[in-house]
Amino acid sequence: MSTILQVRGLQRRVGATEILRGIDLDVTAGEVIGVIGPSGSGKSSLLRCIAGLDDIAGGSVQVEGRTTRPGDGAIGMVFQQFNLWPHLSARENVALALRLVRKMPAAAAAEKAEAALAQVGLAALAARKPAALSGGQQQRVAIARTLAMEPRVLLFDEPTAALDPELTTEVLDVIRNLAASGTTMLVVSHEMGFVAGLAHRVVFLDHGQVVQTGSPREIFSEAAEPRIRSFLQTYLSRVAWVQG
Amino acid sequence: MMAATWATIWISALGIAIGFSLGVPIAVASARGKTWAAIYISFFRGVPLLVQLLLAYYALPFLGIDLPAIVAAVGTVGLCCAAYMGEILRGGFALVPKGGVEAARLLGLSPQQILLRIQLPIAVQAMRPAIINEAILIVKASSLISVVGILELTRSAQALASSTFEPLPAYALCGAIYLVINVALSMLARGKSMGRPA
Repeated sequence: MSTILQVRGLQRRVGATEILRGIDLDVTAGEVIGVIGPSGSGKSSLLRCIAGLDDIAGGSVQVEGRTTRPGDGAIGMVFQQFNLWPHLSARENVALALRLVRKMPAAAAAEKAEAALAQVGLAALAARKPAALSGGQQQRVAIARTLAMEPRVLLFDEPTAALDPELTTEVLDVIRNLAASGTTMLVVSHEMGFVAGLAHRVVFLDHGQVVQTGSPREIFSEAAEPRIRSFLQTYLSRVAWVQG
Repeated sequence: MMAATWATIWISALGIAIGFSLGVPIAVASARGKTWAAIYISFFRGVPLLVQLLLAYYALPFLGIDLPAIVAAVGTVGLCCAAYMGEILRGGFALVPKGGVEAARLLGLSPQQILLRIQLPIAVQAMRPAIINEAILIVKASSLISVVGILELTRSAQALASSTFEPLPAYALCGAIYLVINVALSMLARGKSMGRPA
């Protein structure tokens, strides 16, 4: 399989603090990468730097051999807080960039927006504004908005972290369907079971560095690295406490 | 009095339109800390509108700029309104969530498209009460343009009161017309709501 996303020596600094310390990552077409790690490990920063939203202090990000910049259509991102535009309906949220950036006629953009909303199961709610949608529905609109622009790589930054537990399933199902359809994705999530079941490879980050990369089994079951074991034990004890 | 009422309406409407249109770039410049925007806002907010009108109509000719009364009146009202609109919109821009702008940027919208299609509508929605307030103040302040010789509603009421020696009905009617204009403006501007914040 060909490499679609290539990250080399990615560094980010804020003042004297090193947020990312030389991240290398190759992602092949159709691959799903799960990114996990403790809070403050640099997961979201990694995605934001790949997307070009945060300045980098060094390194490079290339999609299909070309250096990317925000808005060039190579990378799409779904945010934790949805980031929908509150004055526009779900359909208009999806169609706006199609009209303004892709220069599609209004009718064609609306049609494509409807198709993208149907893909995430929201065709019936296309006329609603974000305030009239649940959190899960808003996140699905945000996914549809990103999908409609057909990015080569899709980034998910903790897509369920702002949702009530009962609303996470609908979003996770949409992401699972995208993975099954061969979409290239990087997913930052605290839903370990979801990551384990979805990802082809898992990257464990800590203090801005890749500690280990491997299959879900290698990370979740067989990792000997103390930081990974400690992180997973903390997560599992919390889950056990909730279940108990 | 009918003609004077229309004069008040269209001069105010034009002044508000100029004020809003110029208020957008002033808000952007002000948010970016541009000195010219700070000076502009300080001048038009710090000097009474009446004095601005006198300067525009009676003082500018001494600098070789001889404006017709209507241009001086509408222009001054519009420029003054722009200073206030600029400050109102600057406050509105500060309320636009950063994430919405980032999403637009990542989807490929240009800075101008982001300003006009994302930030401005959200800012206007957030600051709608203040914008309506400013528009109403402009309608009321338009009574000052009689100082440059334009017959508007208040001047017309004065003329009517003088000629009939009955100030009560003349000024009561004048006040009632202002009230109707401003209530209508308020209702018109209320428009469609975007609903609860997301």
